[in-house]
Amino acid sequence: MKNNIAQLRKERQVTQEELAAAVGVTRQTIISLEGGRYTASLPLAFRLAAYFGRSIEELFVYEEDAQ
Amino acid sequence: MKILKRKMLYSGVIALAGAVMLAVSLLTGGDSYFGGMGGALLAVGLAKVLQYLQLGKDPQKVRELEIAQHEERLVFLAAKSCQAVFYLSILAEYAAMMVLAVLHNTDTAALLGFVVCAQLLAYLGFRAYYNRRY
Repeated sequence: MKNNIAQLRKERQVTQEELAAAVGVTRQTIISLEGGRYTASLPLAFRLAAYFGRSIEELFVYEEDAQ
Repeated sequence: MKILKRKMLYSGVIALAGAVMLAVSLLTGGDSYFGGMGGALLAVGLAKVLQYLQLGKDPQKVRELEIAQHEERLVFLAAKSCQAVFYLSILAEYAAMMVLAVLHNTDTAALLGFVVCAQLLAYLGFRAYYNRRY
């Protein structure tokens, strides 16, 4: 599962710490999400999408082969 | 703050249990193992209480601790770690059981076998329960 979190965060000029606090996770989780090592749960995906004002599909790219 | 108080309470109980064990050991002149265990529990409990008291002075750290308690990635990591430890325990117990059986220590091997069976039954029980629940 790829995502555009890092790109959107940089566009908004928000730090990982600020994003983590806004969506109620630790900075390490944001680092793991951006690095593609961790896949967000559905509630967290919704919180991230709401934070960036985007749809979940714009934030996360589902790759069937990777599953 | 609620989580911090709860953690402090648990550590206080551990320290108290350690103090009781140490006191009983010193007063009755019992074995040093019991006293040593009590001393260790008392030290760990007190150290944790002091750590939490220090942490309580920093609201930012308290907030981070509260987030960390329910944070999904940390919950996921804890579950993965438990899973790995469970598999390793079963394998280690099974290996120990085989070695004990080869060494003709059949009673201990049978006891260990019983423990392995109990663990596997507990696993199946929880699995059936969670299968219904989720």
